[in-house]
Amino acid sequence: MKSELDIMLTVDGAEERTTVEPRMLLIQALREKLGVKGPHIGCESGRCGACTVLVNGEAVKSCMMLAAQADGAKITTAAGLAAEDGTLHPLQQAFHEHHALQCGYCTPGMLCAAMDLLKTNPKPNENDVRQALRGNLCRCTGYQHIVDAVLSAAGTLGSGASAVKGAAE
Amino acid sequence: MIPAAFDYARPATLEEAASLLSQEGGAALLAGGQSLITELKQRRASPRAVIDLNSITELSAIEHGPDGVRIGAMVRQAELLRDGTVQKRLPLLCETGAAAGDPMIRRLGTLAGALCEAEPGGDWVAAALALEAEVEIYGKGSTRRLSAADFVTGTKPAGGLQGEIVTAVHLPYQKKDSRSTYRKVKHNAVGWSIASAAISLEPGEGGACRKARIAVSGAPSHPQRLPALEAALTAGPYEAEHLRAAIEEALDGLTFRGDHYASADYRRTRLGILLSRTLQELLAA
Amino acid sequence: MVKFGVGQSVRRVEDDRLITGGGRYADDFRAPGQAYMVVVRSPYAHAKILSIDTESARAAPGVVDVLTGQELQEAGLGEVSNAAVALIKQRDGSPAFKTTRHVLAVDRVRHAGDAIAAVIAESEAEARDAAELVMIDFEELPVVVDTEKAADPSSPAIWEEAGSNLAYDWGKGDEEAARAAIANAHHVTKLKLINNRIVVNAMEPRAALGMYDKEQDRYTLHVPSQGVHGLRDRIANDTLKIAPEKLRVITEDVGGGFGMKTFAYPEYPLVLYAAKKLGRPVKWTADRAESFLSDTQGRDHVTEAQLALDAEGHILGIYIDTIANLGAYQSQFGAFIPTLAPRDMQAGVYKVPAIYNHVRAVLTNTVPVDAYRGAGRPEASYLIERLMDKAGYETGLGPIEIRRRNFIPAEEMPYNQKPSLPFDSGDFNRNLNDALAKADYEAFEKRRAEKAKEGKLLGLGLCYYVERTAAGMSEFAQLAVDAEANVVHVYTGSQTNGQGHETVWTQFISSRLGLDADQIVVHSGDSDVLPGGAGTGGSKAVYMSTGALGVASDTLIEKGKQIAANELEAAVADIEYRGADGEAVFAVVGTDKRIDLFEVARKAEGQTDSAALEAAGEYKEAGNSYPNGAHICEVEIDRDTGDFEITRYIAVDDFGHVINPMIVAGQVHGGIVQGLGQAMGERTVYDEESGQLLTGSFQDYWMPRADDLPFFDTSYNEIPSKSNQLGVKGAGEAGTVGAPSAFINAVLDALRLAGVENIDMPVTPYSLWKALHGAEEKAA
Repeated sequence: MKSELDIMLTVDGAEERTTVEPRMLLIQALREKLGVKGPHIGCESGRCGACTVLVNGEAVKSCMMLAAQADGAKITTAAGLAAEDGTLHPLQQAFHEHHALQCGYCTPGMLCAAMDLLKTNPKPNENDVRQALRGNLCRCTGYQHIVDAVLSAAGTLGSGASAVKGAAE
Repeated sequence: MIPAAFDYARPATLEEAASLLSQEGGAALLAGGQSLITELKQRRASPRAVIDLNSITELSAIEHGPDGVRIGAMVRQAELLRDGTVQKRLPLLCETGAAAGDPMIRRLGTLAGALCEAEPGGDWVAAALALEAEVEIYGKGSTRRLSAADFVTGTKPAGGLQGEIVTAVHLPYQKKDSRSTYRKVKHNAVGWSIASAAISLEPGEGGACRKARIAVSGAPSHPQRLPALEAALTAGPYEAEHLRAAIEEALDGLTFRGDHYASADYRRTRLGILLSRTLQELLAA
Repeated sequence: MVKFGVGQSVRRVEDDRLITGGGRYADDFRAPGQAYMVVVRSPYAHAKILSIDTESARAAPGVVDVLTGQELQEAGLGEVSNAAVALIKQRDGSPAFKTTRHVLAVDRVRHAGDAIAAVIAESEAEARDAAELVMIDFEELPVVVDTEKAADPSSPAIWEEAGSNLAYDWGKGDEEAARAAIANAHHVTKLKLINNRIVVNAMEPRAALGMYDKEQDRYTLHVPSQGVHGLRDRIANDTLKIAPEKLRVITEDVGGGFGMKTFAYPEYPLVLYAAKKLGRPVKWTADRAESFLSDTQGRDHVTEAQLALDAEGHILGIYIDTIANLGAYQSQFGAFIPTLAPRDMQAGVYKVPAIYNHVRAVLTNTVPVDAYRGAGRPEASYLIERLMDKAGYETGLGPIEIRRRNFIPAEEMPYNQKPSLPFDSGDFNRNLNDALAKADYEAFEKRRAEKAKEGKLLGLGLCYYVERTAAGMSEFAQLAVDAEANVVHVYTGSQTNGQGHETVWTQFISSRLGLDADQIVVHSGDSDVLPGGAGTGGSKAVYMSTGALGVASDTLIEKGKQIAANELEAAVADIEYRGADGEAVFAVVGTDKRIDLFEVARKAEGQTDSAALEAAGEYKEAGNSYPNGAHICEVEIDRDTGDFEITRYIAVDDFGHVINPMIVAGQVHGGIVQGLGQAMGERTVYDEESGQLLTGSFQDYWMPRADDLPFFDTSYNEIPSKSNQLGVKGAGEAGTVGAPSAFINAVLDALRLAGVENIDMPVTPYSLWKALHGAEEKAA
């Protein structure tokens, strides 16, 4: 039994070592210990998805996992999706093109949830996208532009379905 | 948002976990954590210690046999739903899983954990009951099995476990000709069921079912099978009227939950309509 | 080439940082040496505080201090601001009852979540652990949470001083004329409805980082706000009792506000007080449970109204009786929302000869209520649009014809709707016609008949909303040309809550000065930079801030001309600014003698009153704008279960000239979803006995999710506003104003087929089932 743990995380490509209390959640380790501010805290019931990150490539809510559980894991946040030279990932670019964000607070989580979807289902339809994002709350956009962005990144955005007229050009 | 302090251990073997559990009074087991961690954060649970099962590799296997599958306690729901054989041989489990939680919760959550939690509005638990799952339990150096129906009884801890660890869930494959589905009326905020049914029917001769398994969740006090309704379907044949009467009779035997979100009457009504519509659809197929 | 002009769907400049995890939200700020604060909140909705024992908490590991209300009172801290109460005069001429809210409760708590003590520790975890050790003895008191019950004189008074739960009895309009219209009407449509309470739930919880500089005797507050100046003044004047200049308020990225982040909450002066006392920065961040219990909530009205019609279906008058629930305390603008915020908007887009609006505001053991997206206008629109639908059915004219008969016609614009709605523009028939065409209204009965065969009730609902966006205050802006970096710095008194201000200001300055987007840097809220600012709220930023930016850019150009005249050896009168076609230069008229804007800035030193080329602008000329539009919603209901689905949603809006169609579409979509959220499921439930908020987490409180909603068809007609120089109408709140009545009217259209005539928000499958089956809800 331990009351303090040394853990190692690879966050967006960088190896990080830190010491945590067992009760520390992954999101808190990222934000408080490692200064990673992309994932946000939006609730404590695991229902909002603002803290979603990719753990070993899979989207999880980082408030629903102890930091200790992530020891040795590869964590990717929204900051790690872009290329090293700053070129946006096609999904990030699609969020930009389709005005899929307003306040941006839910966006890093949305991006990670959508990344996981596109990995497991590269050609989703609208319903697939809506289902895949049901764990992520957004209070600003009404979701339609987010759905458009994900479909667009997957190349499955139907002509005429775009909410932002001309956004797909 | 910050749990009360606890000690932590991450054993590598089941034996080690069991020994820690016996030493530490008031320790909680951490599997997928999709219930426990919320309880910790909201300080509805404040165990002295948490024993993390995530490094016990022997709990992470999906083992297919000739008639069924053994799903290790640490197999993630998402992984289970991706398994080709599970998709083919246990469509009811997959349909239920797709309706449970959200993709990120399924990335971490486990089937065994969902059965241990046995939420009154749980989804997986309904499928496990309808599929006649068995829960494999390790403790005091030996392993035993409990049927899902004996495990999920509405009292906590599920299965009356004391110092024991659920190691796997065994599921017999569905028959090739079985017709099954999971239907759910969802609590729109939390996503749990306010009335749902996991149904598996094996068609028989003369309009009766060879076998019928119906498990309901959300509406009654706890998830459970409806043996009288199952019996009515195997006794068949079932005119629509006969079916409605059998459903009403089955509902009469249940105690319904009610709250400001959905009253007991409403839950009963929804469950009745859901059963009636779904059974008619499956029987007509 | 400047590709960033007005009228284009320019992609947002703020996106880059927000989609790469580089947002700067309040909780992201850390100050060296900061301590953490956790607020101890009341578990009871109404109780006397008998004693507070902080001893064990103080002894807990890491604890720096524990603050109580008594200490703050002794230190001379004032109340939490409720500035708007002073604006309310009761019908008998007397002032409204004013609640007194201490930063921390002293002897009484009045809602579950009321702040009682603050524990400050080295770490957040230690503060949370110690918070559980603050021992408080309570004596529970009777509870009132329901709006109508609170107005009943037999209910226990939450504020004994007031003698009842009535905070004020207010009226506006010509009561006699409205009563006479009803007395002489051919037909009177009567309606009682509930405008349900909303938990705002911006995704970013509130947070505050307080700092104090002893040398300068100055405070700094990092906070997610909707306007740094307003917040600074309220905290400084009302609570800290210091000169506003002694407080600097900084707001960078804000994760949604929707009205709720406007206000001076108790936690803000608390971190400032603590920072000064402890000599180190103090940080507080709400968790979601605290957001549910401490962020202001929205709406919560019960209204009875009468609409008087003549024999042809023309409106003669409207009489409105509203009970508005203000919660346990009057929040900053709480008293303003049901009264002066909507003004006479209950008349909608129709000619209404007489209107009287009677409001009784009550105090209850619930979280204080204040502005929520639309703030009084959605409530007004919901009322008139429900009334018009009902009147349409009762008179046999139908919901479309009765609206057409009463519309203020386009040819009569501008139209002065008395007593206080001077419409400047609008073509209501045109938007309605477009919406009906898009909704394929002609084929509706056919669709309905087909659905009936499946046992489904199909309903089509219409709303023609109008909103009055804000005006009447000053807005400020500042431009500074940075010759070193070759950029222009832009400051305005409005600030983003995510709407896209940075992009729109960039578009505006780009078109004014002929600069590329990357030559323009828009700064966020900092109360030290500008003399004042109106913040974001009331859908006014687009015309108020561009107005101020327009003044500032004109001034900047005038200043620049003087320098350019010197440099080019010409008369100032002969200098023109060329800010188009890739040019940003001062030139001598009719010649190719020119000097670049940044070159002018380099020469500015010594030639102007400031070191650099910069200019300030103040603007207050804009009048209210009146965005309006037709929303049509189609809803399908399962008769047996109450399950429903929105099968189509059309919005045809008029936002005047549109600067960025993409951003406007985003505002409309988000607005509609918030409106639909209120109408189709957001339920704020307080227990009648205990006063506990039963829907106090995302596990209990539904907000729309990605798979809950249909595809929206949104478009607009540009009918320029005449009340501001750009011809724009604010778009930020419009969707939220239009959606609830479009949806409910659709539901009622469907329910009418089953003989159900009324239903209140929020509509849920359960509430529909109850309505359809008249089932009595049995106690759980």
